[in-house]
Amino acid sequence: MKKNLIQLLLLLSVGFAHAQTDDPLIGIVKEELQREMDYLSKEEYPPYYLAYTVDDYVFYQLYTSKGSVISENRDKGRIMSCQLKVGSFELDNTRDVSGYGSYYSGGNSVTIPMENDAMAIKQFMWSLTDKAYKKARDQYKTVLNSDLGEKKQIGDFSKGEKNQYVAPFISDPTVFDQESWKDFLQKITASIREVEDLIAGDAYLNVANERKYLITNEGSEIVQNFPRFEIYISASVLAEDKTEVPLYLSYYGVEEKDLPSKEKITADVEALKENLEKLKRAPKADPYTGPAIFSADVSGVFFHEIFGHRMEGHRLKYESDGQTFKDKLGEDVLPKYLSVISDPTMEKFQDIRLTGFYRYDDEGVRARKVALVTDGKLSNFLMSRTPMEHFSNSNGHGRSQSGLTPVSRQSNLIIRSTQNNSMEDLKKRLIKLCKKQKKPYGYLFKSVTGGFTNTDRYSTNSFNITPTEVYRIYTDGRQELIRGVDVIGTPLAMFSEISATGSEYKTFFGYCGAESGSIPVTATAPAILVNKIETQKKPSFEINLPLLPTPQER
Amino acid sequence: MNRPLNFINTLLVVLFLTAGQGFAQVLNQKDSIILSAMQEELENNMQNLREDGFDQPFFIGYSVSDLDLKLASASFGALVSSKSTQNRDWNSRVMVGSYQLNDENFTDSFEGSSNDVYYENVPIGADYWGLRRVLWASTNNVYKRAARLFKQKRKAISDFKLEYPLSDFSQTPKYTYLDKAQSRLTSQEELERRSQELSGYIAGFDSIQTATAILTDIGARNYYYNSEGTKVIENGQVTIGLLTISRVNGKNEVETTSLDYFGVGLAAFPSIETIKQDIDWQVKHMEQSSSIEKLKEDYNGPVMLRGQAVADFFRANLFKAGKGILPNRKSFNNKNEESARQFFDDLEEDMTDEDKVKIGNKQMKVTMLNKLSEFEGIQLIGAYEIDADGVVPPEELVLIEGGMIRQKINGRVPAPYAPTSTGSNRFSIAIGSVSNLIAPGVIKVDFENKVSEAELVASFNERILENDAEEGVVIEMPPLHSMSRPRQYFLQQVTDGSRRQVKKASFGYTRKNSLKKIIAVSEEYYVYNFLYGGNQYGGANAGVPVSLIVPAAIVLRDSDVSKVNYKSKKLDTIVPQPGMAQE
Repeated sequence: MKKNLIQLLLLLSVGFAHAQTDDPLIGIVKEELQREMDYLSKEEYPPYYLAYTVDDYVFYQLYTSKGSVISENRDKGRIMSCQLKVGSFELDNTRDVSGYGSYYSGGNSVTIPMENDAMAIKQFMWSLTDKAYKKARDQYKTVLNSDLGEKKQIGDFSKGEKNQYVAPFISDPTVFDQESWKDFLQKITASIREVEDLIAGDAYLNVANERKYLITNEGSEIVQNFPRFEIYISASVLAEDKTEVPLYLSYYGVEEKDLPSKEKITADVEALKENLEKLKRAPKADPYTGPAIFSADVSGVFFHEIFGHRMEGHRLKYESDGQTFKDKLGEDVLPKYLSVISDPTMEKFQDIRLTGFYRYDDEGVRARKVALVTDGKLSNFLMSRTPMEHFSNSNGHGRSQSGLTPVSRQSNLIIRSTQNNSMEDLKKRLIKLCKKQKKPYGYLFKSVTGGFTNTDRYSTNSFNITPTEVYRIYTDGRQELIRGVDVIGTPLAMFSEISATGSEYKTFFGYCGAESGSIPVTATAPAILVNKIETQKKPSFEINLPLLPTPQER
Repeated sequence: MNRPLNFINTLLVVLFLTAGQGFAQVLNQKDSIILSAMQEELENNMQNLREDGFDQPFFIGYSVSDLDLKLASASFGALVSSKSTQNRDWNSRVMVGSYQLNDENFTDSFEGSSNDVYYENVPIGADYWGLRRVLWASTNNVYKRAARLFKQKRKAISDFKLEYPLSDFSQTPKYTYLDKAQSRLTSQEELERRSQELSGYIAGFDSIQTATAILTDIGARNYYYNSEGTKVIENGQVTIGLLTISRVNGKNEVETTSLDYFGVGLAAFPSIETIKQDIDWQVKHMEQSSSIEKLKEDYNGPVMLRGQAVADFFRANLFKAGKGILPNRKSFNNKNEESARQFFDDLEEDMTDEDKVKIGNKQMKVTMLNKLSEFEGIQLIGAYEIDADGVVPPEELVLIEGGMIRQKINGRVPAPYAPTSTGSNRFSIAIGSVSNLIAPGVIKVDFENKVSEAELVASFNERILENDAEEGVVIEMPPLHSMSRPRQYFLQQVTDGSRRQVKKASFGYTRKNSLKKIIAVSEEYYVYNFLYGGNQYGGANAGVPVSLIVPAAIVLRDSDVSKVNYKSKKLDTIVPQPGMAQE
């Protein structure tokens, strides 16, 4: 009896869970997908892969500046895109025959009805698929007529997985106390006006959910929710030399409760205001080479740009790419105390929710933790379903912005060190290095906005990181705030200069932009000490404030 | 006690108080705040804004427009998009110099680029200091450029010893106009419902490939204030509908057409039933179009225009800058003395050469009647009270008489045959922005010797026979309620007046001397309300409401109608359309 009762309860709960995740859109898309495949499979060049993605989004965005509301927008809608391949896994329409040595197919998307009206949605799917098929078919014909060379070709698309996961609907995240946040951000940005010679004092609130669908002819049906609640605050002042000096704060969360309290944000803004006042008067630095510490925040960006992008496997396939690490599997690429993983399955790090988390990537492959570097040795790459030499399968890192074709991208990058140096220790080591190199000071990069890097052969394979808070640490221990520098360099040289790491970890949140668009990523790292870095002057131009004083000052 | 006098005094006091209170009642808190911000920032700039080595402004004018937009779009009866947004547009005009000579109407050929611009974000809502900051920054930017331009312009005139024949800015009296009415936009739910119903209705026909309906309601509240003390608050609203229909005909060709509607508010918008009738007509026409013969050869002879075809004809020929009733004031540049002198010589000629203003039939008279709100029972949407410069247009103004231009419509920048403002610088509403446009309001085209329908046809036939032909071309529009309608071409027989429709034909409305080719004009009138200018919005233009009162039919002599060849697009999809019979 008890057993039957338990079984009954289990059955009911399963049934209840199934009812909660019943999503009519899946059935509509599947039906039309099957119909399309039934007809197209009879063509001379039939598709072997057909997938539809739908991004069902809702968002609320608020922009305030200096106490004023500049814009407040709400919107919702659905964007559908279609991925269609003609040929076979071994050779399909995406084979590069351009001679340029790379391939990216862009995207193919359309706005579809917000309602689950089967006939209406199928009309859009039909038109979208027709365009996608003709493009793929014509590309494939070109491939067949091209000289593919004698070199053994790696396949063009790896076999996928049949996965089924339908997340329950979540409540609309844009339903929250908007007035309270509006009032708060207006007050925050109004308070920034207290800073003398202020140019900008802005706050931006972005609340959204993307319910992403992927349905493929391979039988995958995946629906995931990606809610977010984010705040960005930026402010800038006019320095004594009439150039603009900015500082930023950002807060990322999945839900409102993930964000710090308003008291904490207020305190952060007060600190930002103080720093702006100091930065205004800080001396401008000249180009420099010498030792430096990257704080944990900055270190994450450093690894993301210099290392992470060179781990993205799809690019390594092409001759146009720099392929920095392609032939270094099993070799020491970092100090032995460092290991690097990319883990999209990690939901939290030290109780902080990571925005690079997902269960399945945008090609329907289950997300996996990937050990890229183990004890200093290169062990893996980030793979989508575009295979490369020695890596024929995806490891769940095929990602893209809505409407674009996925390629291998980063997720949650975690840099772990077996070293355990405090910041004081790192500073002492820095000073030692300065003396050894006969430098009067070294640098401490404390915060950063982001960076960029080039990975192809047609430009210098360098990187540029844009710090906002930089200090000179003199050999007598003094610390001086400076401004106007960016960090530059090349990856291999830079890695060989890492000499120590810190004990405290921080996570950098951001949006990474590359071929397949903008995606949320994180990079968690300790502080690092680098024997030698190089800086260049930041680009800047003179700003002349208006002739008359700001209205509120009169 | 002098009771009547005291009574009158009391009455006057009461009236005065009422007027003052009425004035105060017109301005709600938001209006007051916005106008105050504009006024106080302007006054501060007029008093204090000056850069060393440059002249100070002599005129400043601010425009602020608050836009409310609601949009719903549907396809095959399903809602695709529904949004409601609010934003604010603004403009600062700063002039340096004087009414006679200032920085405008001039291009500095040697102007370098400048990073010397500082911006503030424009706030929404009744944000006094936010708005003042925006105006402060933009006034600074515009002033600096204007001051430099004026310096260069004055130097060029002095160096080249030029005589400036036409002033740069006309003077107008100070005026206050505060419209207390507020736009009432359609509810989002109503827009959604209508767009779904209309697109669903289209989808109900056979062989439909595209069935979309987009409805937009835009309300604008425009604020204007200038250094002369003119103060204007004006409301504008336009409701726009765009339907797109495409279907596959019997020859597997895809035919596409659209229907566009507008109204000043939903109450003035055609009803759903009316629009459905238009859809019925369009689909039936598309079904029957394959049986319509093509125009076999180019035609030259008399052409009769009817209804909206007449309105389109006059719109195309009159609403032209330079050659029609619109002004044309070019800028001169300081590249070299020769080009500057040539410019001023050309300008003098434009102002004095009578041949340039003989544009039409000698019987033709064109009058601007911007205050006329109704004609023969039809509402004229082009009627308005005041323009974007705060100038009230005259009740009646003759623009063309005896076929000659007497006066062009204009704003405050003088131009040949347009030396003063006619109150025609109008607000043009578009999706997300408001701009200014020189545009008419209500225009009436008249002729001295009008004829009856029978006489008109007789005149037409006479001309056909003179050409040794048996038939002539008649152009008219189908009986739809949309703003844009496809032209229909008919070959009409002289003998019995019977006619047959032809397709793949084209008539150029604006060939040389088109207005002089009018030989017969009907005594009845046709009223055409439409949106003029503005930004393209699919097939329906948001813009300025205009009304044209024209003869219901005219005959043109010796006009060309060409045959055109265009290939219809074949349906070449591989998979049958969902829901189609062959499935």
